[in-house]
Amino acid sequence: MFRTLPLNISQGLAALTPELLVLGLAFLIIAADLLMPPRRKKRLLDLAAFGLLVCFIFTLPGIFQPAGYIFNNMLVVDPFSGFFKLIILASAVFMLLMSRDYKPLENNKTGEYTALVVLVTLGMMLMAGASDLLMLFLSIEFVSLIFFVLVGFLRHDVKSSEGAVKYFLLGAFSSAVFVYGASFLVGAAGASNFASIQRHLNEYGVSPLFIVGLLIMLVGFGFKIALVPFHMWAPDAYEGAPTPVTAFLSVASKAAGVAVLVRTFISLLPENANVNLILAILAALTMTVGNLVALTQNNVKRLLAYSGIAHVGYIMTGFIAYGVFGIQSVLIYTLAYLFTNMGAFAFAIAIYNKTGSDDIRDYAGLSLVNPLLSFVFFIFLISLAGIPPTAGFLGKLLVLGAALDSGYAWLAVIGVLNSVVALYFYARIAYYMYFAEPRLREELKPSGALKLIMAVSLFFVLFICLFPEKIINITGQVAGILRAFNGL
Amino acid sequence: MILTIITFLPLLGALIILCLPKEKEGLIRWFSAAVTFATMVLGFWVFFSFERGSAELQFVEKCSWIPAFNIKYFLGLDGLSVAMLVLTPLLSFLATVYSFNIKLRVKEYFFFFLLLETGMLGVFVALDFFLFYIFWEITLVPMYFLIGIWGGARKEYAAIKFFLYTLLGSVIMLLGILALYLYSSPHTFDIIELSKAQPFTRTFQYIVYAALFIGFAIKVPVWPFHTWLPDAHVEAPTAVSVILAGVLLKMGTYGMLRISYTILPEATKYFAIPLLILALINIVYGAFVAMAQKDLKKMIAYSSVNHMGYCLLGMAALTPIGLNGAIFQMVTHGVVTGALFFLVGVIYDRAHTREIEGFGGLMTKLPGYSGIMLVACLASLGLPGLAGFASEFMCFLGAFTSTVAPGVYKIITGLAVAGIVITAAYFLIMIQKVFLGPLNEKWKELPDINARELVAIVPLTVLMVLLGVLPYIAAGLSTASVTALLTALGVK
Repeated sequence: MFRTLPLNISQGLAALTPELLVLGLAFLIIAADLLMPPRRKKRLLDLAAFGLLVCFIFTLPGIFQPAGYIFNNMLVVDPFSGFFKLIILASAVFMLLMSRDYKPLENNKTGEYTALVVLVTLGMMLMAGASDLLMLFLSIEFVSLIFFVLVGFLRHDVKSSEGAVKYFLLGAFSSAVFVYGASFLVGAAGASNFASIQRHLNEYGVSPLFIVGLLIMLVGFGFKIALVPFHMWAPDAYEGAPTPVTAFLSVASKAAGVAVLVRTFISLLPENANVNLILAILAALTMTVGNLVALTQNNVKRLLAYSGIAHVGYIMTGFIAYGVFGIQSVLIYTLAYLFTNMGAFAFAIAIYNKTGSDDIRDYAGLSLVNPLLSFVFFIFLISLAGIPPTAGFLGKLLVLGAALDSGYAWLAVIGVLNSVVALYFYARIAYYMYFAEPRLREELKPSGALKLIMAVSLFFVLFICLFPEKIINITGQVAGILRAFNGL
Repeated sequence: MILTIITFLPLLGALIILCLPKEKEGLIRWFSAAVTFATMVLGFWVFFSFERGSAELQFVEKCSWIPAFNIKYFLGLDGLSVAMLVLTPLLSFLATVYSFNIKLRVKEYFFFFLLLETGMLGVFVALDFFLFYIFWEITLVPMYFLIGIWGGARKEYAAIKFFLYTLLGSVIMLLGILALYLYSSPHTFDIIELSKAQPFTRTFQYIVYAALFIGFAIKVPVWPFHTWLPDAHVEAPTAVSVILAGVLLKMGTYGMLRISYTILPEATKYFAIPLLILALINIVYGAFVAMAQKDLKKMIAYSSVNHMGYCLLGMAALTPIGLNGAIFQMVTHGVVTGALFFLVGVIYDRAHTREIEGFGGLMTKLPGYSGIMLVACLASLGLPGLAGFASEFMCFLGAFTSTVAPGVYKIITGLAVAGIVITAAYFLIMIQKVFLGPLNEKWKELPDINARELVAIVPLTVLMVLLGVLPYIAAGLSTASVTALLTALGVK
């Protein structure tokens, strides 16, 4: 399953084909932006979406490839990184399709926007494969910087600027903390790439300094994936950002963060280090705080931001189980989250385009004018709440199973209690759509692209729960290879 | 194949309804009625071809579904479930006929209703936990909408309370199910396999039993988890109340019998006396609270708490007659209380009030309606010759002759008999206030029960008499399975 020897440069480049394609695409977009007449710039989004779709197809074999380090152990190509690259690319395609029809983005520097999106996709793909602290830091910074710009892309919108500034300030701070933590690791192990650090750990064992450094790095990761108590930026950034960026941030950026977190901890943290309790407490806090605060939100983007925080708590719950089953549950949960969230955001955009409002109270009466659309949105909501027969249920089932399996019964109990709390605010949206005094009078007519996103998401949300065999097997293999290749 | 067809026929119907234009309300109504009728006919076919003497699973369908986790598509029937599989389509059909008077958002109504029927049927036939849980949860969503959109004055509150409450129960149950899966080797979600293997230690059984119990108890509802029930029942539209009382509550007791009793025998015996005490509370408390109600529908709702108490009493007995009685009680309660909710709906549709004090002397004005109501009330309070008597008698007899702890059982059964008297009291008081005495002038224009309502109610009335005179029709279904279950439990 593994390549034991490091690969040479040309093999490395071959293994990086998807990333190189994305890079080429970014240049292509920048060039095309210069040449295209302004009125047809919308085509750039289509071009980028198509290009990323091609990259997606090229990345598909990546989840079956053998694992191996490339570029002097700077990057690793393995099924795990392939899996997350696919999630990132898929959400980028969804996101670009959404951007086509999001009104505030119309005729607003489409070329720059598209190029940034493609570049940030590249950055996240590198994050998923980083196996060196330096590479990790660079890719995280690369991604963060572009996201600061994307969040603040609506320059004339105060909220957008506010979100960007908050995100930037907290992001800069957490990067510094991350580097500080990483310096402990380098100091303790005398190397920055994972393979060398592992050799050191195998030889000399873990020093307390090392563990402390890892925990400090956790702050940096925690910021990326909005782990409580490092989540403060998320609701403001999510609310201010253009909705497609919010969707992207909540799925792709989080997935990339989860990928590096899982890889780093699996590679560098021995199982006997006893920090799982800290992770478990953080997971419990994250779920609980995210859900409780979401209860009072009326803005759908803020609501999804807080619910997204809670979902990170569930992902962590699966992760603390640490074994193959735990990683597998994280993978499936992330996959379920991708489709569910993308569907939900596509819906939010469709409504926003009609009403100019993200307030869920303005959804009142939607089920009367768009019964089918409302029900589809409701399915996404119950998937977020983890009710069968949806992907969210399977994800939650596996995460809880992993927690129980590894003896964290108390965490599983907190998890299920949280899902009841969560149901309340998801059902509140349903309440406005179905029960409240109607405010919407006219039918929504979502564009073809939005309909496509919803249809694809709906299909996978149901499919993942009802026919999960293939996905379970693949994720099982992915997790198994990660453990065997990267694990200590 | 027959079970798959029965279970998914309503779902297919629901999907077809999605494709029908929403202006054609008549078509949608008749189509739903046709689908539920066909399901009911299939249900009866199963009833008549079910082999009564056998404790083996029948109509088994088993194939691999998600082999990675050893999840199977596994359906089957035995004596524990066959009665409910017949009752559910029957009540669904009658409720559909009754629902012809729904004017608001007809298409969505019948869509959700048929979806609900699939969920309910699935719960009673699924023998794999994964499948079981999916069906169990599928019933929540349509119920939430049916109460929330077509319900009464406080419908939103009732809908969300129902949804949250039952979800709380089911997620805790899910943890129990996961624990069963993780601690069995090889890991399996197969209910039958788990019940045969019996690999669990005593402490583990107690913990899982408690987790599952919360899920089931909320559904039944067992005191003190019953507070969602009056709200949901009162606010739900008539047909939905019927389904709620007639079928959904039984999912709880059925779940206990099917899962806790078979897989966790040690815990079942250990918790028999606590269950007995809860049964007593349900009976007496439910009856007293029912007596205090001013709203007719709320009174019937609390009478459900009371009657499910009899069912629990029979289950706690751990004797053949008690368990058979409990299963029989599920059927008779479904029939009788289903009819009562229909009848309350009939009067509410006409008078737009359910205040018991506000009526009076209706017997003279509405003879047909009053006659049927009288039969239903008498059946509910356990008059010999009608359905309620036979099943309640079996539950009491079962508990009284229990061998688990004879002294305790005799005392508690004796106390529980008081429930019968209180039940009789509140029904008789209600009859007196509503139907007897001088006619309240306000209601002299009320029309008598109409054909649609008769179609929905008369079959249940006939069943009340039939089951009262020939209890064997339903009570005989479960004997073989109950005997096998008790042998496995190790009690006589």
